[in-house]
Amino acid sequence: MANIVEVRDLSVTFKTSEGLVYAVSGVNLDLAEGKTLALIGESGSGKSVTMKSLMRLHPPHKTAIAGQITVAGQDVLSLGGKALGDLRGKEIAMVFQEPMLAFDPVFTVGDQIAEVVVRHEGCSYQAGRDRALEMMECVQIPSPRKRLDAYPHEMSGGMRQRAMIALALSCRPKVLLADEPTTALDATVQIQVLLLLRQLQRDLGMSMIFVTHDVGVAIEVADETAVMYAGRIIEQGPVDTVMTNPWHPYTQGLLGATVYPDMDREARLVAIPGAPPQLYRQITECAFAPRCPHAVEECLQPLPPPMVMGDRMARCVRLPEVAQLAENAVTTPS
Amino acid sequence: MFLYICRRIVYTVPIALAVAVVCFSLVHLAPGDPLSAVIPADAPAEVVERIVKAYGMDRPLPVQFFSWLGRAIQGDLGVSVATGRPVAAEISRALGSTFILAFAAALLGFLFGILFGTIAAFLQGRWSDRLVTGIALFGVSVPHYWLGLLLVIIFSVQLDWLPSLGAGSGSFMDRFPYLILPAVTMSFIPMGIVTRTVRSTVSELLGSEFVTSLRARGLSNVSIAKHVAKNAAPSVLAVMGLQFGYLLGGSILVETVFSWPGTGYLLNGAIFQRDIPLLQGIILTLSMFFVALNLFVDVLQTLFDPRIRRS
Ligand SMILES: Nc1ncnc2c1ncn2[C@@H]1O[C@H](COP(=O)(O)OP(=O)(O)OP(=O)(O)O)[C@@H](O)[C@H]1O
Ligand SMILES: [Mg+2]
Repeated sequence: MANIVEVRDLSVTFKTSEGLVYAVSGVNLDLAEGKTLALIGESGSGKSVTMKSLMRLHPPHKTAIAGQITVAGQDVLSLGGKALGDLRGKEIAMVFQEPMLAFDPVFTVGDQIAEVVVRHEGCSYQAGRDRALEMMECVQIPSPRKRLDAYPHEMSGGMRQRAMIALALSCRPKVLLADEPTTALDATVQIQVLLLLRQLQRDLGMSMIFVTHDVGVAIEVADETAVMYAGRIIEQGPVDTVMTNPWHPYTQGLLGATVYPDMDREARLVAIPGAPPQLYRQITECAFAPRCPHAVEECLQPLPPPMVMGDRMARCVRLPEVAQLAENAVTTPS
Repeated sequence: MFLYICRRIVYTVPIALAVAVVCFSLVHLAPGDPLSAVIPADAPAEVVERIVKAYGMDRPLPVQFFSWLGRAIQGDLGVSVATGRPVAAEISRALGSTFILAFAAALLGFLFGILFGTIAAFLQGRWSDRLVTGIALFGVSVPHYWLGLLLVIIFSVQLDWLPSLGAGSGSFMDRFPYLILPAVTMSFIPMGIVTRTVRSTVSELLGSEFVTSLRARGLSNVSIAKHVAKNAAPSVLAVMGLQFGYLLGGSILVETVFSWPGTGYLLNGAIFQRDIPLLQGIILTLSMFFVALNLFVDVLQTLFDPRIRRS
């Protein structure tokens, strides 16, 4: 099966007034056509930076990007301005975390959708409006014809995010990037939007990368998962096997920190102690070692290459043992 | 929308009234007797009394105010003490010159301000940004009567390219050279302030999430500029409106330096001659323009930003 997205050895560095920030280091990702990848990790782990790199949305003069990114057969990092514009919104589109901030506040939602359709399909404005209406129906916005002429501030949060999805899908992109699309919404609306996204992804046969903090959401929507920590992917594989049998101590901790309704009180309180490291230097050793319950002396040495086994990958110095420990812990009734 | 405009107009009435009160009482607050310019120092008591009566100054202040206001609304601003001509006629002659100068200065200042501000915002932190920001800072901090004198010394005295005094006469082309130096002088402050406003507004917008989102939609830079312009318009317009108001009212020094026959020049004369009716008339007229300008800008803003209409 062909990969619609391939990322090889991606590194992103920002120039800031306090020095360089090594936001993403050596990331590899593969997304097969029609599949969904969940990118999970704590705040600041580099998820959004990775997503924006796929569309080259970083401010150019402050950002250094190295590596290779292929989306729908095109080498994103070497595209010129016009070709990049043709790719964005048409082949690959993004749903942002906060729809209020991602819409232009002074244009109507209908106009913004029509504008994108006109840009990519060279059709008339009226045809763009017709498509906008069609998309608003598609994302189940009530009385869509009326909502076309609404401004973003005139919509509720959930409706705005639906409109954002309508906008992102209006040119039938092959890849959809959803950067925590439900975090800013109320709990009940979250689930509706999540189910809508999953439904549309399946109906349209899109590929999707879904960023989330929430392990439960990842299990719900994704086929594959990649876990990020301090700018690196530290574990990757099919979502169900990774989540039932995490190899990396960080993933194990993340699962421990997640609240399941049927968990007992004691188990809920397991969170990972400590905080992620600062990214002002290139971290070559295991960045999780200072917080890791299994850390030993050799964890402070430069990190060995990823250990790949079958369809899974993890980056941990003590890999086979640590994974085994976790498995025993799960199977041993306590 | 229509309702909003009506409401805005109604709100303007108390403001205009307050401005009129201030204009009227300014004269009475100022030190010295307002009639001292008309009455000779050695005039006998009964003459003084007659003059005071003729000007209606013996009545209580509120009565004086309302009769003054009533006549002002009908366009009767009284008679100039110095020239004996109707104040309204004096003002309307000067107003034309002031408008021409203010328009020319605004055109120059706003055009360059928007241009410089946009350049600075797009090239933030680079040398062209620093250069432009430096020019803007110079524009707002240099005293403009000093700048006017400097320009006169260079372009009139040294190079003898442009006239330095008056507004000229004859056709527009004959008068145009007279406009250049005062207009350039007056354009510096609005240029600097508009540059700063545009720079900060546009650069904030360019760094905002929604511009990233516009890029992610594949829109060209031209389309993105259109979005940014519509978002920046309300705050830039507000500043431009205020600046245009200042240009109309605040040109006393420049008009005096260039002997430009506008309201500022007239006002300067009125102050020195203690010509109270003229003084009141000019201040009232200019303030009313200011109030009307504010109303106009407010209404214009709503055309750009739908969020203002709601609140
Ligand atoms: N434009 C930028 N300039 C400098 N540093 C940046 C920039 N964008 C992101 N960073 C830094 O890169 C790191 C990763 O940020 P990123 O936004 O990818 O985190 P995230 O995983 O998406 O977190 P969250 O869950 O909070 O959204 C952070 O430390 C952040 O401060
Ligand atoms: Mg993020």
